[in-house]
Amino acid sequence: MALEISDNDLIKEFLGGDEQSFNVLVRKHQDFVYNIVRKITGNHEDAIEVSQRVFVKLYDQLETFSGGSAFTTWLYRIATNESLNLLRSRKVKRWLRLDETGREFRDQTSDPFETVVEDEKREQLDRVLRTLPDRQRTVFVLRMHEGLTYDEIADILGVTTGSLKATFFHAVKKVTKALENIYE
Amino acid sequence: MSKQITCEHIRESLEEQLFGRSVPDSDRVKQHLESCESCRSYVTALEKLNEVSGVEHTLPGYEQVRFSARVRTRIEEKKAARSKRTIFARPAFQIAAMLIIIVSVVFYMSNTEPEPVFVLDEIEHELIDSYTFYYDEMELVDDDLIADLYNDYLFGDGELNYDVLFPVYFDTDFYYDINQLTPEEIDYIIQRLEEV
Repeated sequence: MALEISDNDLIKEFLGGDEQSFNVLVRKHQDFVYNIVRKITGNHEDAIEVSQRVFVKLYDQLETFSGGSAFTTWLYRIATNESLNLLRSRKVKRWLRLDETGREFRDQTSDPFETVVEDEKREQLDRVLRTLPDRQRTVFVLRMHEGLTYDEIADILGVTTGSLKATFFHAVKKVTKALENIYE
Repeated sequence: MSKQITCEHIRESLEEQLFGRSVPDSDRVKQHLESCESCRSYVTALEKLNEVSGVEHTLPGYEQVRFSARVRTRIEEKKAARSKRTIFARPAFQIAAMLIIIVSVVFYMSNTEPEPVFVLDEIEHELIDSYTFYYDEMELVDDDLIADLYNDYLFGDGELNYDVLFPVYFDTDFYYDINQLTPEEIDYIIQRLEEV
């Protein structure tokens, strides 16, 4: 099965001229990327847009992938940066008053196959996460949801681990408090 | 002081345990928990969050099928746009551009009042660097500013560094993809930079 080929082999084949290998790489990691981006951006519509950008960027930069770090770490980095770029461009637009409609995060996930319970959990958590600053939310997602180490997160975001620990700690407190309010 | 450091260390150990990774000094963690209310409440919070955070987002069924096709379409569109720009990479164009630059410099140095308006649109699809970020329909109004933007602000490995460009307005140290700025936003940035 094509999806069982290792990332490194797919990358080699792609760099050797096999464009199809890139499509396989996309299908293999599309859920992985969507999941991270969805949690950072907070809504399905943006997550789809950013996920596509991630893979377009990946296509352009794949030849620079040295294999020094895991491919997934690389994907984390691109996905995280692209998500933050989108959120930041929203801020710029609001700041410039170019987007008077004040387009806010919208949750338009409409997969009929997902269970109601999971949808509820997801929506509650999304709602709470949206109240966090972008950077704090990103750290929370990478640590709590993805279970990355502080060193890995620091590598992805290009910051020191010291600040991350404090950021995560405060995010945990905020999210917990907000969820308690919802459940009360 | 020591309590704060210890609590931070303990919290990290608790997180690592939650993620299923082994931690050294697990006995020390237990001992600490017995005496520290703050860390006990933290571990409770982590456990609750872990239940909720376990939910994974996957692409909805209809997106699963068409996602890679959409990515491929975007890639092909980008390739097509890029191929149009390759004319600027041809030696003849580069020589012509070099001549224009030389003539412009000579003109500038011999003229006390150079023409201040420079429209990037005139060099449509200028290739900036290996990341191929392009500027179309972008009007810049000051030659010196352009130099500043090229050298110091806009183009750092093909990305826009917010720390540098927006030191006042954004508390962030992430990079920004210049492709996502609209011409209006670029104009606004330029105005703000001029003020600085």
